[in-house]
Amino acid sequence: MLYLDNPATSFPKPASVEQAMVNAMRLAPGNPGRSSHAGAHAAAELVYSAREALASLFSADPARVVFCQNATHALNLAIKGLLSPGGHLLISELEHNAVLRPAEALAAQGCPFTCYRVGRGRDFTSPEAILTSLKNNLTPQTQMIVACHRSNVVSAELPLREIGAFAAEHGLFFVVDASQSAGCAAIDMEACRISALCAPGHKGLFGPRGSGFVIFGKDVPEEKIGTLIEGGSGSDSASPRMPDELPERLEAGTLAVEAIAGLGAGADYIRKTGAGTIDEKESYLAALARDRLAHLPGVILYTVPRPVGSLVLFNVRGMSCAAAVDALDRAGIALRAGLHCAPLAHRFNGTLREGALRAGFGWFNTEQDVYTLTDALRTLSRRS
Amino acid sequence: MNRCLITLPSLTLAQKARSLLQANGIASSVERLSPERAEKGCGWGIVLSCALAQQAVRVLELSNLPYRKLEPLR
Repeated sequence: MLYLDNPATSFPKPASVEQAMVNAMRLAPGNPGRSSHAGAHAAAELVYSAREALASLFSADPARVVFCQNATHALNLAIKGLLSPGGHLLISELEHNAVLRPAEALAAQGCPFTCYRVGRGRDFTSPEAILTSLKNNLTPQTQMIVACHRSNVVSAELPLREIGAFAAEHGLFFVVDASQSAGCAAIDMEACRISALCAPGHKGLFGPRGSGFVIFGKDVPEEKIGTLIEGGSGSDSASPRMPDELPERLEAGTLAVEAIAGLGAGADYIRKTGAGTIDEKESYLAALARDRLAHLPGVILYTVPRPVGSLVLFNVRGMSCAAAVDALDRAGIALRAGLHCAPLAHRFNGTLREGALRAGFGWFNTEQDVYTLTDALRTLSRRS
Repeated sequence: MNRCLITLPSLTLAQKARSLLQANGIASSVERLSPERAEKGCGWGIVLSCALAQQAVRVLELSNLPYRKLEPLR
């Protein structure tokens, strides 16, 4: 199988990730933070090592790394935890449903949201265009700005430093969805004034499915972060309330130790390999694919000015994206088709009605994979 | 060696304290507190040489790491 569905979840994983998970299962029995025997201590050390590994990738405090089951969980924690009753939320017009749906749910409870624009044409993703839209949509009740660092549909990257500076200037929380950039783009939480950085473990960070995290910035008052679930935390158990301190405040129940161990190993792999090196290769492969697809008359290629990252979005003329992705699957090529859980981004792209196919190149893909994909599409587009 | 205990609000903060102290040349180990030592039923702390305890407390304070108590272990 030629795997090109990395934006959904990365494959394969480095061998060190698999090994870390097996080691956790075999060598670290016990519930971290609950018991005091050697096995529980071993599990607790695995968890803390993963916190440190992630914190070092994003210039953050390891004690502010909160483990979640995925980025959706992380975004819900951050957005709902930080927003106060009656607060107004600004989200970009490219956000995934992991942001749009909590925003809709909050709007039904009296916390409205507005989509800010990310620019058009030459101004696409320009800080000036985005800041203008933010200023125009700011209200006295605005409490938070949410931005996807990189879109999972269009090859766009939003300017985190400028948005973060704007948020800080206006006393707003700044929540970042780093689902498509964690592991391949440098993100300095302090420099970008990020209040909460949310990411899955299982995409660019090479961790397993079921892993994710939110990292809270040092200036976010931890005792004020609302909880989504309450339960056992391993400390202050005589109190009926969740502890004030992060991360335990937001980590009720048993942690997914094997998944976290895998995520920690993935973060270590990124640190050793270099996020920039990974991004360079993935971007090169995507650019090569775009260049070849642009010469296929039977393929509709969707592009933006200054494309960033590993995604290529396209359709095959005369075929639904569902039929095209099935045909590619039969040819041994794995892609994703449809709306990619991001109707806002598809509306921006003009593909909300019909959807599109998305190829996402990963660190373990090669130039030959690009040729295999484009040759298959040449054949498919001639048949359609 | 006379051992001292610095109690902290959580396991993660105890681990963080240990890392901070290690970076400052102070060895310590993370320990689960007995219920009678923990203020609210379950707790965590770091155990270290009493000779380095005051220095350790200064390191934690300079890093704004909230600790609850410093006491000798008997």
